[in-house]
Amino acid sequence: MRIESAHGYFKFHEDESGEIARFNTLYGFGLIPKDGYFTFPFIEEAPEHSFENLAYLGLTARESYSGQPWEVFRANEFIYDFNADALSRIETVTTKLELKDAGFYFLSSGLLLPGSFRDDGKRVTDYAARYIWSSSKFRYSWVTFE
Amino acid sequence: MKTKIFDATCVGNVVKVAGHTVAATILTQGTIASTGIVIMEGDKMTYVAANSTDLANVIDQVHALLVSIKAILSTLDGGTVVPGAAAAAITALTSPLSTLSSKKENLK
Repeated sequence: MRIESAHGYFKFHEDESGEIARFNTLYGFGLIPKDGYFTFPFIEEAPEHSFENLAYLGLTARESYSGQPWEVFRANEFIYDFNADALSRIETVTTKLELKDAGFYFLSSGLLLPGSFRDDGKRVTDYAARYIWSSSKFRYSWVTFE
Repeated sequence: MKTKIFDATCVGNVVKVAGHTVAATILTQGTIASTGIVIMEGDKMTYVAANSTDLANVIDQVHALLVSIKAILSTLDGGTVVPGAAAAAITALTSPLSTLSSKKENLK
């Protein structure tokens, strides 16, 4: 099962039928289908525009922007916090990054929370990963930081 | 990026969408209150006034003026021209001309 996170907007793609249902049972995320992928219910209806100083999914937008939800997230420095099931500002994430360098990829026992920070203070913004069923681990092909 | 269109108003160079002030570039001169649309793409917003009703009125008034002018010229064409014969008709053009001048300003 493939996972993409673009500034905290998530897309999950099944490699085989039933993977999402199985993943939902394991992690309780309740992922739902949207436009050919699966995502979290909270962000499924994320608006494709924001107006500065107006509410956007429970937060006040900092920027006026029209685009894909992840582009609106990026413009406003929002991320979806799947632990809190809420939109958060990236700078408010207090999770330290835990990622193991396994040579050709990175490994983590959990889904990386966008906004997690590493030692130099840079925060996770985007990544691509696969869920490894045999080990119940997440294998990350790449992770970008800002 | 995606392009979105919203109904908007513009009063005194202040553009509002659903009552909320937005930082949109005004495509027209925006000196008179107007309704129109905001076109939003990425972080760019542009306000375009919808003046089709005003334009139709202006065209109607220009047409009426031209009809009046044609009538005046017809009285001056051929036969004996009597000084002052068209004076009243010429004076009658003053009011619609003034109205058209106001409409021109409003369209800005």
